Amino acid sequence: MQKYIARRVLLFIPTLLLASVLIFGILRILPGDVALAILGQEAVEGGGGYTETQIRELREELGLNDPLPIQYAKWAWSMVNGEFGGESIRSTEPLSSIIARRLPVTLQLTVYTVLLSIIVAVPLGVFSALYQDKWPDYVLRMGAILGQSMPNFWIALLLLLFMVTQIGWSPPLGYSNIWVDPFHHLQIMIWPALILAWRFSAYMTRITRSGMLEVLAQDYVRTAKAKGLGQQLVVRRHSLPNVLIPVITLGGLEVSTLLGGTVILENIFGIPGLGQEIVVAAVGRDFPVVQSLAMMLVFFMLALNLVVDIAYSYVDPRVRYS
Amino acid sequence: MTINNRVLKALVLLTSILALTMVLAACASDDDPTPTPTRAPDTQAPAATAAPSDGGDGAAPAPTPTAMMMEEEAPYGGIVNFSTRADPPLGWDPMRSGSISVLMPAGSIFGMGNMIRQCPDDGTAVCPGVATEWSSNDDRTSWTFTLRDDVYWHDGVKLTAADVKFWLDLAVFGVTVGENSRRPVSWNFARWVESVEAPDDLTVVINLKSAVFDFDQLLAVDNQIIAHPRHLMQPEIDAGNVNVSPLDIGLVALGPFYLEEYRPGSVAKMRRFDQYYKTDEDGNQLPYLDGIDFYITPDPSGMDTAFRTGRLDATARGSGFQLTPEREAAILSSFSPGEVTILEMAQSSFWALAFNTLREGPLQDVRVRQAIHLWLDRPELVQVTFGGFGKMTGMFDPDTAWANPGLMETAGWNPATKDADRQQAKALLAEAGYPDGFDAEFMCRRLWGFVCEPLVGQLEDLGVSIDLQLVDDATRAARTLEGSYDMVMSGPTLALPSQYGSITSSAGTSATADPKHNDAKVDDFFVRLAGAGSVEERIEIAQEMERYVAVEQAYGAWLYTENTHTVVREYVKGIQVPIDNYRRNLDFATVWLDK
Repeated sequence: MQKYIARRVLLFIPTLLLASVLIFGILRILPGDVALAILGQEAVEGGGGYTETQIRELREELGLNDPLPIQYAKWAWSMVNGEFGGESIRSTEPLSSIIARRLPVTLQLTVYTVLLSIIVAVPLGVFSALYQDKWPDYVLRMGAILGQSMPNFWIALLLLLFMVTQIGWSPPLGYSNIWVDPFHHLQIMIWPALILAWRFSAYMTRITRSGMLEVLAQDYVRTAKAKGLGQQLVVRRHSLPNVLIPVITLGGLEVSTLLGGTVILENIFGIPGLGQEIVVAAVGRDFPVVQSLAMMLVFFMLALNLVVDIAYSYVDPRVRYS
Repeated sequence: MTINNRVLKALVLLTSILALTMVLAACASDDDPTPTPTRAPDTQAPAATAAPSDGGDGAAPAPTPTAMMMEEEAPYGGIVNFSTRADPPLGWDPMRSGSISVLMPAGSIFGMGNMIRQCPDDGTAVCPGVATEWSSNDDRTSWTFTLRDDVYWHDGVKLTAADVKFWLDLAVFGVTVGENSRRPVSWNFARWVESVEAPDDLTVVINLKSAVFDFDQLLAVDNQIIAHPRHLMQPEIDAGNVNVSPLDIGLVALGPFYLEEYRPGSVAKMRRFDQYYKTDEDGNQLPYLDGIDFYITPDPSGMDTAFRTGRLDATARGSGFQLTPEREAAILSSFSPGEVTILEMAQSSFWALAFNTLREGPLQDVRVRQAIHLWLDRPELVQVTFGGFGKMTGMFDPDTAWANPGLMETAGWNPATKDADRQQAKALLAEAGYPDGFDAEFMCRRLWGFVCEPLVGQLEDLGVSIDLQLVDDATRAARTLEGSYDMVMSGPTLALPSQYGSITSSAGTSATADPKHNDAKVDDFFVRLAGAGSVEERIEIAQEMERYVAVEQAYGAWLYTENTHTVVREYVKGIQVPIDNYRRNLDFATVWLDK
């Protein structure tokens, strides 16, 4: 097991390197020049012109005149030396500072979503399986399909509209840390967490339901029932623990998709997390921010995969890695 | 170990992750905003005196910033909640960005203009700023400004002429320390400046490379702001940090409010600066408000919702955030009449379809260009594109003296003659040898797709087969330099001929101009404008230029300007609405609350 973990951790390095080259390369082959993007936008929005000298000077200032390998090497070094890619072109703020400020916010939203999903999805999945092909099952499956098929941003807009028109209320503005003002914090965070949780729990409900149906048909469950055990005991002690193994595993892998969901919802609800930063950076061609945050997401994905693999063998002793 | 125990452990693991996240959140506490809050000391500087409103017997008419706006006595106190669309970019530096994302929240910290500024109620006139008087020598090559003696930075340090010289030098010449260079600004006045002197604490002399009749108008543009305190920035620059930004030094500036707290992505809180140098006409210290909270609302839907539920007192200005007819109707449906006020402001840009006459093709023929000018139905475009929130224009605002009188009643613009104009357009195309139309590449900034698509529809009705190419800013700028398009949507033409630097960029033979031609006569108009000896002469030249560029040669089809609509709660009084440019009057010194 230890060898397996060591090998997987070592595989991180070439995978990260490959990902970094891809991310760096893709941003460089996009059409257009970042210096021109900045000056062009200044000219359009600020009402000024620009000269070729200014273009040259800005390119120099941004390090765009260096050969690509040099640019890559500078960026890669800054990723590992604690600078996390230098500084934002748009805000001039160091990326380490941006990440330190925004990452916890996004992580909190993700954790709220996962907790809400687990609390809701597992009981509903079990309930749905126990009432297979009866009306509660149909209702829950329909809710799950809706949750998976409706875009998050659309639900968010409908929710805001509903709150405004029906109760004249909207989430407060200005994000607060949970330790500073918990009530204010929850009033802001609960809505995107609920929306994300609907989608996430829909997925987990369906996994739980299908897993439960499979387990309920097993011989040992039939035996337990034959021995006279009540349904509650059969489900709780003999069925559910086995169902939770794939739920935890697949649910863990699905967490990565939550990060995509936070991108739009953080914008709509004014939550200053990584998603909001990525949108602003992508629109503004702030390539240090985009490439560094993309690398961080790659890192998280790899780490999450590793943790899930290890957890899988831990939760299910039948699985062993050599 | 039973499976139940393993599940229990998994739940413990999840709880641990939650706890770790909370700890991380605590580490990134928003109790530590960036930058460190700056507070105005109460003792270092004397209170501002009750000087005449904006003081002095300067060359410009005395401003009356509040008298026209307020009929009732303005009470002090209160905090308003405004919206801004994004965190200010580039360290909040107006030298680096004129975006509304900077100006909306920062105008209250920096104040508008510099030594002089555009008058709040008339953007074509010049009013005092931190200078009370200004004059030029006879040949207009040297301008002298006299500063007020009661202007203080937010940290209590007194403003002197040396500070203004530092700011001007930084803007005009940039700075180099070792291998680090700071590039100069692209402001219009900067290209004319040869040197700056500060002979005493209250006098600034600007020497020009050549005569500029209206240098004061060029210098007074509201977004050319002093936001660079010498006593805080010079040490940074000396240490090699040449690109030090206002945010780096805590946004210490000269405006009516100082920064109390800034939480990126969330909120910027400004509070009253008690030593602000301006007073109202009754000698009352400005500003009236205790403070302004600018909430960063990156999504217009979220902003509208917050306004409707009372969390915001006004909506943001800026592209994508100004109200559309649908959003405006939705907001108004939440209120009774009189509860909110719609503020209407013009954009600073006049849209035009610019033609590339340097590229081989039909658009080299003036008859083809004129045919397009005649064909386009501007009122329909305003309706389709902006829901009616706009008006037709030529190169200048038709409601100002700079435009040709009656131009909007002439062929091309006049809706009443559109049928005849369109017949004429068809005839011109046939005469030029394109009776069945032609193919053309139409480059359009991606963000302006909604503007370009209605144009495509009308052009195709004329028989022009359009290849619409939506591009990002970088591609647009690169292709503008290359001239690799037949026509392009042009936005940055400005309302005032005094800003001829920008118009040169957008209409002359400059490589960065959108219309492409080699017509030296167009550049000559700008030379003549710069050297004109009177306003009347300048108006005459501006009108001649408009007739030549927009009608006779039709280097572009000038279309319209969009009007910005924002909504504000009725109890927010004293907003000085800039009718000509929504980027002005953003210091909010005269705003007060009637509740």
